[in-house]
Amino acid sequence: MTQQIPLPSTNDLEATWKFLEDGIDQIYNRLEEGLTHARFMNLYTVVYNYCTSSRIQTGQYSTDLQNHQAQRGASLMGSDLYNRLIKYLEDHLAAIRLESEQYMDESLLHYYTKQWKKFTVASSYVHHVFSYLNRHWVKREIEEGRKNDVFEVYTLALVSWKRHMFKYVHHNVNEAVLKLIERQRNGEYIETSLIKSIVESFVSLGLDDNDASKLSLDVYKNWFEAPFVEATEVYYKTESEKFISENSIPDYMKKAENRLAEEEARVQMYLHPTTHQPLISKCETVLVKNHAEVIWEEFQNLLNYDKQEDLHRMYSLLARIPDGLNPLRSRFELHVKKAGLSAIEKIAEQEGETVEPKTYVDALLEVHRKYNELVQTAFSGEAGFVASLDKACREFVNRNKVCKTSTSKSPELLARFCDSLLKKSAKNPEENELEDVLNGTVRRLEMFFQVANNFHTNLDVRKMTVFKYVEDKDVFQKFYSKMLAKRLVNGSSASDDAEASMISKLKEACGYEYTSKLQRMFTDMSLSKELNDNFKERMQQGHDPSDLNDFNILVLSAGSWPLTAPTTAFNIPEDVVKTYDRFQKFYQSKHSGRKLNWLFQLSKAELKATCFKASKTGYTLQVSAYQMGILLQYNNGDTYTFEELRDVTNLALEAIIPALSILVKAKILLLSNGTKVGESGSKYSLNTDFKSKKIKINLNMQMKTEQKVESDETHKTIEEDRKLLMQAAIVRIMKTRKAMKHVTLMDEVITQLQSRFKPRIPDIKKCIDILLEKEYIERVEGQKDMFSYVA
Amino acid sequence: MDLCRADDLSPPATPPGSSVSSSSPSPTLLTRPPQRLRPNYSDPSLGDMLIQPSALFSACELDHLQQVKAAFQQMDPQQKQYFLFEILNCCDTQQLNFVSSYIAPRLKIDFLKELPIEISLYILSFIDDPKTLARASRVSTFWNSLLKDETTWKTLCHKHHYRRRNSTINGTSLLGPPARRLDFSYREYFKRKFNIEAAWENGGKVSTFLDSLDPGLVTSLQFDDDIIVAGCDNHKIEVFDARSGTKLRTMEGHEGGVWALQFHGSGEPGDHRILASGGCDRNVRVWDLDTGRLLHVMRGHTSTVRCLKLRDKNTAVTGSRDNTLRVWDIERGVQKFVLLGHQASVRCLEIHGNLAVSGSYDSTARIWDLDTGRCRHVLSGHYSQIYSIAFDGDKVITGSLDTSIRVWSAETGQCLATLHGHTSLVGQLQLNGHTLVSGGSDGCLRVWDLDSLECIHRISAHDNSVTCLQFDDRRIISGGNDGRTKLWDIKTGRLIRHLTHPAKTVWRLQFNDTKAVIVMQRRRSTNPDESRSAMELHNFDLLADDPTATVTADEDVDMA
Amino acid sequence: MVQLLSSDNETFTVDKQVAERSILIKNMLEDVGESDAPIPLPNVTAKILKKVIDWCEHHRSDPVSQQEEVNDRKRLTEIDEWDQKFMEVDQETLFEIILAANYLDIKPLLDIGCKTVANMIKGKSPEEIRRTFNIVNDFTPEEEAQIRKENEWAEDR
Repeated sequence: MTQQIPLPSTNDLEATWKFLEDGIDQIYNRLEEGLTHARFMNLYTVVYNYCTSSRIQTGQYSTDLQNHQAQRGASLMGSDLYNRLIKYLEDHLAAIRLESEQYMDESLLHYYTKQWKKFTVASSYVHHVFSYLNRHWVKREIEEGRKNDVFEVYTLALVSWKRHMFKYVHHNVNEAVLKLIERQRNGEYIETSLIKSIVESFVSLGLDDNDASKLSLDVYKNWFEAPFVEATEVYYKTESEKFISENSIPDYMKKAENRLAEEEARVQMYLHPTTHQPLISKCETVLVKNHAEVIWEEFQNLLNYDKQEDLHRMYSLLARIPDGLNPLRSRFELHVKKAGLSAIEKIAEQEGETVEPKTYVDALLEVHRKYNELVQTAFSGEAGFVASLDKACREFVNRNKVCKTSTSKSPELLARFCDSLLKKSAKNPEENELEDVLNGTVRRLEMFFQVANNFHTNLDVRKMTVFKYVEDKDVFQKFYSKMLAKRLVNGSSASDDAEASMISKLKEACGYEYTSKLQRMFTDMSLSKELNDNFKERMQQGHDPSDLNDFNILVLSAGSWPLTAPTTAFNIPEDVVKTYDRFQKFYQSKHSGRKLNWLFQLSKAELKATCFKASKTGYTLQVSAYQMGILLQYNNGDTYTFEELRDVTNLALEAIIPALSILVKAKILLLSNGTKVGESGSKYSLNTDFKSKKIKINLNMQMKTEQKVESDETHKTIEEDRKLLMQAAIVRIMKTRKAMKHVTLMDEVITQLQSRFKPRIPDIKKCIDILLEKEYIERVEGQKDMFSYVA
Repeated sequence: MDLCRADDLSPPATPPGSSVSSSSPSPTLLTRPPQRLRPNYSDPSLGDMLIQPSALFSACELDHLQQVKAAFQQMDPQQKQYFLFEILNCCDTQQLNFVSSYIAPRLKIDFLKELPIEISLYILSFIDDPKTLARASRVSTFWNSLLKDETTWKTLCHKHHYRRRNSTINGTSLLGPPARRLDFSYREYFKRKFNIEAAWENGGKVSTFLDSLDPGLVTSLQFDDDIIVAGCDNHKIEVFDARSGTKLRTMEGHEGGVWALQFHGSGEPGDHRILASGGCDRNVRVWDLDTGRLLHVMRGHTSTVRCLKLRDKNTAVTGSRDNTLRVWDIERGVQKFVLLGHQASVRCLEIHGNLAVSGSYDSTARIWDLDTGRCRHVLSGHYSQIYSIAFDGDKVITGSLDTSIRVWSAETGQCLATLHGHTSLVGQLQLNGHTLVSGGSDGCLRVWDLDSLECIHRISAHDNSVTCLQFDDRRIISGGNDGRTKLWDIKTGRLIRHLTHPAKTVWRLQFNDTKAVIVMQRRRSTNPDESRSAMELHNFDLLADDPTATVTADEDVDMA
Repeated sequence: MVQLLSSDNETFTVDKQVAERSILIKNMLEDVGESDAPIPLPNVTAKILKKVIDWCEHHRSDPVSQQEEVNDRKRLTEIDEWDQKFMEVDQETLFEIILAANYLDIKPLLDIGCKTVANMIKGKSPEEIRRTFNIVNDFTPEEEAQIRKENEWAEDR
């Protein structure tokens, strides 16, 4: 059985304190000797016994109402013990402080951390020994709020440390810490755990003066962090200025990057996490912001030599400081634009006037691909650089050497490029290859339209004037639909799937309305197929020997197709006219009231010719309807004059001359009595000596000149369409708004139409004038620039 | 000579630790004072008469008894127990009864006195019934002292929520949150608050004043700590002392019935009470309420002024039967804005910050910016005239003849909800936080929670229209055309009590934490066809010094 | 396992978890560490210590309450059934259980003890309270009258 030490009597303060002091002293100074359970319990019990000896003075019952203070109630025992504890701590800490005076620098840190550790561990023991005091007397004092400087015992210990120890030594301690950190920055090995404990001590001492239960970081911030950040600034200012004067910018950037990483690691290793922000932001200022100008200057160099790694480093460094990237973005934009323009210029020089659409588009896409890759890798796909890239691309795509001044050239070329890919190629590529090419086309288109899309989603509508890209979309549509029509009519489309996927891409990019007509065209195609089947069935029922074999017809709705009626009359040849009539009847029976316009200029035929000596089986001639009209005459005779042919076909000059020219050029017909096709009096006779290696001969081709005319016409119709669109928009707006100012009307028109093209102000003005003339709108009298709607 | 001295049986007064080694083991080591056995012997069968041992025993016998006692004290606990067993076995029932009744009280402990004080106080913290605590302080001097400890009463104040005050009408400063005054006592504070609550429940001091007002119709009422102001249909404005109920002055000047009034200011030096009033004569009058002096007559409205609210000491807003609202600078006595828009009479209005909201017979409400005079929103949705409006800066509430209540966003003007339930015109509304109380011509009160938009209580309060109502966080008072004034518990919706004697009709009422003023019309007892006015002044702060009040509860004072 | 030594030198061996219902013992074990030496509890007798250990055994796995606020008045009168049974003891024992719970810092047990006493006071007249706890009325008649008057405010009217 353990021998019990007699405990002091419950209400004997002196004896109680003496007993406690001995214990506390052991805890603070000789804890290594060990503390037994019994000793601990005795100390606690002594505190308990003392505190529970409180008594209320049950003196006389007091009727004295003035004596409120006395009536306030019980006072608990405890303040004497508390005050003695304060005194003990003061003395204890004074001794520690005194000893600390013999240490400096690192040895001071060792001493401080050792003492701090010892003190806090001991204080937590003492806190528990005095827990009865904490639970009642201290709690009541705090609740009543009579005095602000009563704390729980552990807090009291920290407060005491702050008052009697920290206050005197923190300056030296901090200086030592800063020296140590500087040595580490200089590459020396240091004992980081030392700094870590000092930091912890500073943080623990951040006691809120008003509320001890709250921890504030004031002490750490004021006495450590502020001087530390300041020292950091001085250190790196000197270092960076020296380094940058002796080394290249790429080397400096490497250095700065390493230093920043080191400082981040320092916070992780031994500082309070809240220091991260002020420290790193200071480093960013000193290491990056202060040298931003020279770094920016280096950018063009790195771009020129395609130094991706350095570019990325530059990007990451400058991204840390406010507005650090802006100069890079604008320089990048300029650079990309230049690259794009020079790529196009090169093509223009090589190919002259007639630029191959494929070459052109490939050149554009190559520039885009290259810099897009750079944005993704070196600039981490950052939105600002993406925008710069888009801006630059839009610029060189629309305005370059090939386009000259017309912004509609680019979309035309693109549309032609698409056509060339979607059309059956003479080279007849392998199936797989075709697929690849088509995929490639679609991918390219996707990229192309992505640019257009970005424009819509990312940029303010008001900035439209800067980017003309959107103007292209209606032009592209025009050309595309024209060429699509041709592909469909001629059956020259390479793949239905490719066409369909193209349409759906366009739809994605520009919306339903944009492609609705294109889609109608496909519908017409399949309807026509049905119609042909029906007609064939009918023909078989009442077969007539004069019927044509393989009659095939496309019935297309006029509104959806960019096709125009022939400009010339045409006498349908005898051999064909019966089938023509028969179909006409058949169709009317199905859809009475619909009018059929025969587009002979787009029709073609195959003629089996057995009149040539060179072939016994005869040749098959693929010809246009007009050529057919001419050639069929030679069933009746061998030679005709130009006038005779003209009269019998009833064709206009501009139709008959090209048709004849090809026949003459192919030497099916021989020109005599003249040097030029179409000369009056010139004669054309069938060349029975015609020879060809092929059995099938295609005579149905377009002349180069025709192409040119067609392109110009398309551009002209675009202008016309735009005018109509603008007028329609104006009327629509005025109808709802009744009256409007000139300027607001302009704005409104532009907003409504910008998804298709960017209307030019003079054009809108013109349209307004037209509408004034047509009396859709009128000027409001007495008010300047005010229009009103005329109902 | 004592039979047995108390000290002999009590544990030694040595500290707990040391007793272990001492020879006499003691079962209770904790300090228990020696108040356990009484020093003197008395026989209950002889009426507790005190008896000297010498009267029972001879000297020799006494001597022997001492020896036995000494021997007993020498025994160890087991021996003692056996000894007692033997002795008790010798006893008959009567003696055992004696032993039993003698011992029973001695096994009891005065816990509060014997435990450490901190624990005694902790025990008291488990009691939240003031009655028990008050009784406990009457037990003994020790208990009395213990119950003076402030901690107990402070805790009790918290438990009774005596800090929270939600009344829209300012109460007396005395009952504001506990000031950090040196002589502040939570016990006294609790007592005061508790008594006020009790007086609300059970009835305070009531003073009734007859015939001091227009017997025909009192249209408006407002009071503060010092004065009561009432506007009457007989063109007069009457001012009374809020403590005694005596008439201070009558302010005449209006040439028609007074329909609306409001005052602003405390009457402290430099903060004169300024009163604005309006009525049938279309004019708005501004008075110095403390002197009775007429300051301004402001003309502009072309028909009766129906409602009036003060924004502050300088600005008044009025609504009129002429379809307009007007904003007045009452300091200079000039009109600032005319608010045009309503297509019919403006019936009610409310102000919050720089916004005013108005309800009109054109069945719309409008939100106005008082700084610019512009209409911010038109709130349309009601099918019929709007009669009542409430506004807290965020939500606008309107009550209409179409029997519905609508909740609107002041920010957007959107109708957020329509509350159905009343079966007749909704003429009374008060809004506080998310609680709305409405009173209708169907005699019903409804308490709504605007968060859930649910009706929490539906109270059939009156046989006829609800003419006036007010609520705070504890209670509602409603007055009706049936002449009753009723006090309700807002939490439960239950009737606490009737506040006044039945009258012909209740015109207006107002209350704050400690007072209520009700004006009504009664029948003259001598001639039931003839009406007279009655003003009841209820005081619930009965502990407050009120030397001027000589009138006791329920006693009518005839002023005529 | 932990050994506890009562003031009258009786040793109890209990699970550490059980012993640590006492915050005092928990803190001490944290500071001083465990050892084979028994922990002396100089203010608790074997009889009461046994009772307290019984309680701690029964409540060994209760969640340790997180500094519940005084204002949480759910704790006012509620005592669960087992604890009520546990507290059905003579006043002397109740008294000492409260003291021991306070000494050992076992707040839930202290609460139950204090609630039990509070319940003995509630709703009683002064005389009933005196009888319950065998208290002598030590007021003079004048004092008693004065105090009665002072405390009338809380009585029903």
